[in-house]
Amino acid sequence: MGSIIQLDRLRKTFPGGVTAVDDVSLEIEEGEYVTLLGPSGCGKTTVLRMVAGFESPNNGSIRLAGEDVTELPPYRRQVNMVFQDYALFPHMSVSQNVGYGLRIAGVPKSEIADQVRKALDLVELTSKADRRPNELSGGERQRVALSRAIIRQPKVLLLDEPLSALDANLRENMRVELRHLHQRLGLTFVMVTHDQTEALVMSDRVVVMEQGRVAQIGTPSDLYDHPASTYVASFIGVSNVLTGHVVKSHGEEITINYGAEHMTAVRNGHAYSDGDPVCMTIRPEKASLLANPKSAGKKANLLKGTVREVLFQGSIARASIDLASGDTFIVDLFLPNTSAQSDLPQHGSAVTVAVEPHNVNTFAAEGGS
Amino acid sequence: MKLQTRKRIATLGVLSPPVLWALIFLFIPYLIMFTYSFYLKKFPTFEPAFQFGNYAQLVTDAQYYQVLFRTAKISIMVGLFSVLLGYPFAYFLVFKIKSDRVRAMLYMAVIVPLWVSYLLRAYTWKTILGSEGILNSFLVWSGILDAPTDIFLYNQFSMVVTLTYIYVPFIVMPAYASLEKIPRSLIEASKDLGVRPLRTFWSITLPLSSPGIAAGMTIAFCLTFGDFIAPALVGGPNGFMIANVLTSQFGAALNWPLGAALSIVTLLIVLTIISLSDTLQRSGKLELE
Repeated sequence: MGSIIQLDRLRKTFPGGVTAVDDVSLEIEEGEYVTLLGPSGCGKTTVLRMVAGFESPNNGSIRLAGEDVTELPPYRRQVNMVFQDYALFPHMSVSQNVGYGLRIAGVPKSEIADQVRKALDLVELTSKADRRPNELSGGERQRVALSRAIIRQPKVLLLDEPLSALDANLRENMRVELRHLHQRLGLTFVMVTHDQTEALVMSDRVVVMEQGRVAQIGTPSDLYDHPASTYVASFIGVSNVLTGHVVKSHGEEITINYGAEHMTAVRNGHAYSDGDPVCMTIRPEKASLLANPKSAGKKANLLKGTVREVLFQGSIARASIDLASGDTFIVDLFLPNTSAQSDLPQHGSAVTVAVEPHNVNTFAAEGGS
Repeated sequence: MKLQTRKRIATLGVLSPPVLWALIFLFIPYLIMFTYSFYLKKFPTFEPAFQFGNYAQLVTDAQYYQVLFRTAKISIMVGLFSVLLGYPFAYFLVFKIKSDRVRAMLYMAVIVPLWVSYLLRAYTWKTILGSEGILNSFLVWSGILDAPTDIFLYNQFSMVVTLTYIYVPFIVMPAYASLEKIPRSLIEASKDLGVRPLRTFWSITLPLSSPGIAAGMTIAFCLTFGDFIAPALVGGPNGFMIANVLTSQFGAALNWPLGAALSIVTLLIVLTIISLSDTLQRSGKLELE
């Protein structure tokens, strides 16, 4: 499989001086499901719109299946888009919407009918073929938009916040549906979202964007377990962020001075010199609370603190611990059986937080802080 | 007092002024006019009767139905030309002007003439099209003509020009509103599906803005149909329209029953056009929701 999209140092500055996209380079493999993730205004939608051809970059190039399409208008690009508001034509029925592109292209009527039926079958909407968009529910409209976008078998399907207009229940179902559709069609999907769960659940790879730039690219588990900056760590899931200095590197392990304690972390490909400021991120569910410090594993990092509060959240309880260093540390406590609840630590009790070295993710502290 | 009774009284209180207004100033006058249309002319006034002679005269006497046809023809032409000028302008404002300020300025430029008296704007065309007018002076000065011509003024051409000029703003306003309401994503979606800009205009933009066109065209048509100032100022002997005949029936000709029948016919024609256009606009509006 080769790369189907190559973005080379794309830059887009809007009249008025806002640089929405700043030096973005990205390669997407054929058949991949890639998600651009970031808060609103981070430039992710502009990247998608440049791939579709609705915006033209000030700098850089876009290659689609090896062909430079930077200067091609949208109607000449073999990509199709599912719009955030679905953009269904209100004066046409569902089947007219889906067959619109084929009809204008002059495809024979019988063939259009055939393909429209197949495309609607795929999203299970054959029974609503004669309805108008305003007679459909939000989820149905979304599926019409999908089938309209895939009927011509585009090289790439672009999805602009496809689930944002759906209510919570439907959204969860559609995540799985879209994922299945992707597997069934074998097309390349490029999706834009600000919802981290969506990005993690649906994509093969996630591109996290920050102020027009790529902050990190990786598989969902990469990004979750090894965020490369506090921005990524805090945007995806909840993280404890601690800062310290490297004291010693020995093989794969590094020792970090944090407050009055020493902590051990796994290097994980990073090169540090002694004395480097370093950020540690630890996921709340990858730490545990110990009543008795001696029961911890041999290598575990132990941090002393007192319980500030414990919030019951159903399957877990989230404990906030005031560490001796002054930082607050969050630990998720699993509640595998109902009696576990009565064992939860009480407010003010002294506890020890235990974290295995391989659960401490590190990266160089930004700005020397 | 019961809540429901109180609500009912409140509803009546709110409704009664407009209902009274419509009754006194609209429905009763229409009713009087309708009654008059069956009366008999009897010099010097008329006498109550119930007969269809007035209506029959309108259908059989060429001078009346020809004026009706001419009025309809001029109204349709004014409606069409206003759309041909006003719609592209509105399209240009909505889709091609990037700056909000320039757009607002151009929009105002179209609307501002409405603040000037209609009479004055119609009169202006007299000074443009007349034999001593600006157009003739220019043609003679540039050598295209040897002597001034009088073909520009006092005919149906000058009436259509004048009325089109006057009603273009009435097209621009609803056309602008309906074009602005079309989500840009629809036009992008069309292009995304491989459809070129011109086809996109025909298949998406035009059908979705047709309610605005219909509204504007209806206004231009109906206002032209009842107009009597433009014919009087720039129409000349062949530019007489139905409203001029109407005024003369109630004035010089002193035939109120015939005038009443004529106004009922005019009213019916205009009402038909309005309700047709209304149906069209309703179906269009439903779609954009």
